[in-house]
Amino acid sequence: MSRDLSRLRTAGLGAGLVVLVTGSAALTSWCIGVAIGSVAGDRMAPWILARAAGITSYLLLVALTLFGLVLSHPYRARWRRPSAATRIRAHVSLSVFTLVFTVLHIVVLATDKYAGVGWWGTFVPLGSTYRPLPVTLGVIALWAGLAAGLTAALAGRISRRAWWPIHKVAIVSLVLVWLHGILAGIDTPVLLAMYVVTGGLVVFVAVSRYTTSTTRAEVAELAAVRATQVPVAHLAGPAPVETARPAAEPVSVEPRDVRSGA
Amino acid sequence: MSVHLRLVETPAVATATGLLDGAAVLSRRGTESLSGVAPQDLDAHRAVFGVRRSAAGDAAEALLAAIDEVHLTGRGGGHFPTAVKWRSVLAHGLGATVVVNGAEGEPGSAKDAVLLQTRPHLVLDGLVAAMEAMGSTDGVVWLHDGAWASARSISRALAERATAGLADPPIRVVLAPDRYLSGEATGIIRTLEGGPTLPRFVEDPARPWSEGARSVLVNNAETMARVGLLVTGSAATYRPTSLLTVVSAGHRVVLEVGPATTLGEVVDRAWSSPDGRPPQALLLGGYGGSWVSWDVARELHVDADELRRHGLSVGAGLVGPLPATACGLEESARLVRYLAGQSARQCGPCVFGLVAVADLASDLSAGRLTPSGRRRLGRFMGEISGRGACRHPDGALRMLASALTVFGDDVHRHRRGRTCDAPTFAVLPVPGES
Repeated sequence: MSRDLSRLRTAGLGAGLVVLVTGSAALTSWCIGVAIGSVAGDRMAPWILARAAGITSYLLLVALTLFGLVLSHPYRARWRRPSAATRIRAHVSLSVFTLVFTVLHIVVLATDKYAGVGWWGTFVPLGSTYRPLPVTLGVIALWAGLAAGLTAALAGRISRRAWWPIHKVAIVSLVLVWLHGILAGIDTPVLLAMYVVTGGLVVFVAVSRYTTSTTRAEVAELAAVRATQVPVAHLAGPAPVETARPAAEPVSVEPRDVRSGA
Repeated sequence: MSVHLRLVETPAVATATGLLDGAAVLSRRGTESLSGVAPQDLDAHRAVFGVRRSAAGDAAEALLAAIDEVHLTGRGGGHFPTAVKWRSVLAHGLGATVVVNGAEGEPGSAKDAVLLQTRPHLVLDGLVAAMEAMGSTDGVVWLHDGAWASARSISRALAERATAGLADPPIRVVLAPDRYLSGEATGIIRTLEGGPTLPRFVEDPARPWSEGARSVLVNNAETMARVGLLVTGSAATYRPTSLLTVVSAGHRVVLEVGPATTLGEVVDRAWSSPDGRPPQALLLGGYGGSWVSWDVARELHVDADELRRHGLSVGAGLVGPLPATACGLEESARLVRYLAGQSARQCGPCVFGLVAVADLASDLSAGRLTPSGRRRLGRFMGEISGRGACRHPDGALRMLASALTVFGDDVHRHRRGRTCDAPTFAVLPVPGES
């Protein structure tokens, strides 16, 4: 009976997966069709494509950061779903997609004469003639993001002590991207709301991650309870009845070297 | 917390071959205020056991030979030969710090407390002999915070020895934080070196102290009392007994038994069944020990070799009979949860692994373990074992694994979402539970 049920379940999961993949492929095709249809022939098409890629990249970066915070949250061991393996896979996959859309954002802007950014402006701070400050923030964010991503790609091959501090520049990347978006990309209230809500969400999770007591703090708490040396004279007194807890003094931490007679 | 102890079955004439005169009864928790029992004073101690012989210089080798001859081992469950440990410390030169470990982390166990409170001079004779053999001038009686009765008993005995003019080397009494892992040897050594009382990784088990630090010999209180027997008596009169703590619903009994005694006799003698029926199983060794079904356990002798053949050990001496009306899985899940909470939180296998295993064990106990949870439990138990600085998870996993075997029928029932609905629960004491 239970074997039949499990077979039925497997079949159901398989069918669901086929429907999901087919559905998402259809939806993607439809979205691309609508996008092409609405900008076809428009001389602003590359600009719109670059903006869309930028916003997508930002949203992916937010999701990536949220997964990163969850991965290092002190409560991570208590959460069962998604599993630890799924979380790390999602974090890595999101970083790849973020990179893909960032590259699209950059390539389109660099090759679009109308944008006035150019290849120079894409990679060098203050190299853009179009809105130099916001573009520069984006450029620095790109470098910081690449540093965070490349060091993490080496995780497991190099010491955690080497890559983990560098990986934390990811937060610089996100903050700069957010400012880049706020300064250069809020021409509609919807976009402003998106930046405010997503920024608030990351701050909320980050506060929870950094204010929750970590394992290291718990060890420090345990280590703070020190062993004490009992003054023998106090305990060895004549009173055979219950005595109050005697005052104890900390254990002498100085190892005496008896061999040298000290 | 008021705990009362009385001696029962006290024989008319005390014998010099055993550690205890009879069985001691304690309340369910704690080791303190064992009123009604006077510690054996120095005169009484000498009348029963005789005067300690020196173990300094050449006499050290004779003592080591005697320790070898009686196959004296540690009480940690690994049965590590005491003589090998002593020789490995001696290999690093004279002048080691010698520690009597009387910090019983096992919440159910009270054998060391009873020993320290009724036979302080025997333990101290063992300690002083060990110090002489090691050329030591630093002796430590290591107890846990709250063990005031033991601390008082030892301190009084030390004062008595000083008054009697015994030329004992300096001995101090140190109270460790009251935690499960406070009796762990690497944590003791770390503390003596000025660090926190937490276990640490040791690269060379034969040299658990830090490079350049003073060498340290740590022996359990029972082992040290047995050394005391050897330096007052001889290997010929030595009896290889075991001290056990048997846990009942309202009290505990500490007793000494010989290798010819079966666990069935131990339970008959010291356990009160809540319903008149024999127990369904025993937890043997400690909370990191193993469950043994009653049918197997009743015939087993309290003999290290015989127990080892069954993959068992007396360990810390705990005997926890599980009443027929209790659920072994519920009890085990409770103990795993306690052990997970008592980790030093230093190593991944405890922080993540043991906590996850405790969650899954609770799920199983509550009858809501999913098939994927079952697979994860099996996987985690394999992945975690043998890891961590002090191997703390190993004991918890051994206990849980034995529960899954011994309570196999219950596992089957719980997996189908039906619990035992046992009327008896919380059989073994866990600190902090009301």
